[in-house]
Amino acid sequence: MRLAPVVLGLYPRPVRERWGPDLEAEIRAAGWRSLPNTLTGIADLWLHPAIWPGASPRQRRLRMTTMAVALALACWFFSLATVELGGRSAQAAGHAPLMSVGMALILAGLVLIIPCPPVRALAATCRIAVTRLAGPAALGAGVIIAVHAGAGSAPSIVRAAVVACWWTALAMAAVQTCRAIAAAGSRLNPPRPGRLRVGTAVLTAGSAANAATLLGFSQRAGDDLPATATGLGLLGLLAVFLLVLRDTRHLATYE
Amino acid sequence: MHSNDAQMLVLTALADGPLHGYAINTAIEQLTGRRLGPGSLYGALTRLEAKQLIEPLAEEGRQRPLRLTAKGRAVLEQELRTMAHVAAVGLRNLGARPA
Repeated sequence: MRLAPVVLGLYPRPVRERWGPDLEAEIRAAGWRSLPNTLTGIADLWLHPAIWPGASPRQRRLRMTTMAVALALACWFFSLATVELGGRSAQAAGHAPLMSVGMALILAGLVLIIPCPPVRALAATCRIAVTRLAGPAALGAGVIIAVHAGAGSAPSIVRAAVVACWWTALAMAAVQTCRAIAAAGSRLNPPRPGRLRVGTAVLTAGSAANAATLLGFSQRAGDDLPATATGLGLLGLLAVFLLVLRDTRHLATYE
Repeated sequence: MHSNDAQMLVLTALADGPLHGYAINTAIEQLTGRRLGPGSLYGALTRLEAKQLIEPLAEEGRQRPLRLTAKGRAVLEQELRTMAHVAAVGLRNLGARPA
């Protein structure tokens, strides 16, 4: 199969580094008929960072932590965006106590699992965080300045651009937070297995609460496509959270 | 671990000595009549290495042979004994003679 190098490139980097030439030869020999099996295997490996090769127990916990943080931030971002930008039922869901509980659980879960640097690595870690988050912070600050300068009474196209910049800044901040954790990697102390398990369980509960609120309100109010779509998307994230949670139970097997 | 899953087949192929990925699949083909897809094979290899049931040896050219660890050998033996017991009971219940 000519596309073997492209398909190989879809695997997580530690997997490529471990099995590269052998794996490429196998993809090439297996041909197109095995492509669904190969793609399923790739998705499976992306969903289980704890088993990627060449990792110490600490690195495995850090990879799982990064994945849980990424899922939590995705859940937070899409819930917030739907509530703020969606229709009437999505806005009503935003005021529901269950949604507040969901957001509080996500915040609590993040506090539980966020990896901390030891004191000696604090300066280096802060440098990485500042480098990664400077872009979204500058964009967010620009939006705030624009609003205070009267962008709210500007033509609608300007207002739309300001709102788009705000949500872009939030999305970039979420992505860059995960990249900062991955980049700081060896400098950070990942949470211990028990704490990671509890934190992931709390994040899973938060995601479930947000999904239930959005789906419940969208069904009650009739057609609210964005709220329904986000609710279903959060159910998808919930399924991935459950996989991470299951992997935290198997961490002892890999240590 | 299920008796017919990819991890079990890989462990069985490696019981005869170290092999690299492509050779493992060839051994599995000889054993079962069909090769595992790349997704199944390398998913199984990755999981077995994470569980420390197999380990890589030094690279030979561009390929990296793998071998069973002592833990992997013990797990394989236990699984095969369980399977042999299940097969013996099943055949006896069917009134069939063991192959």
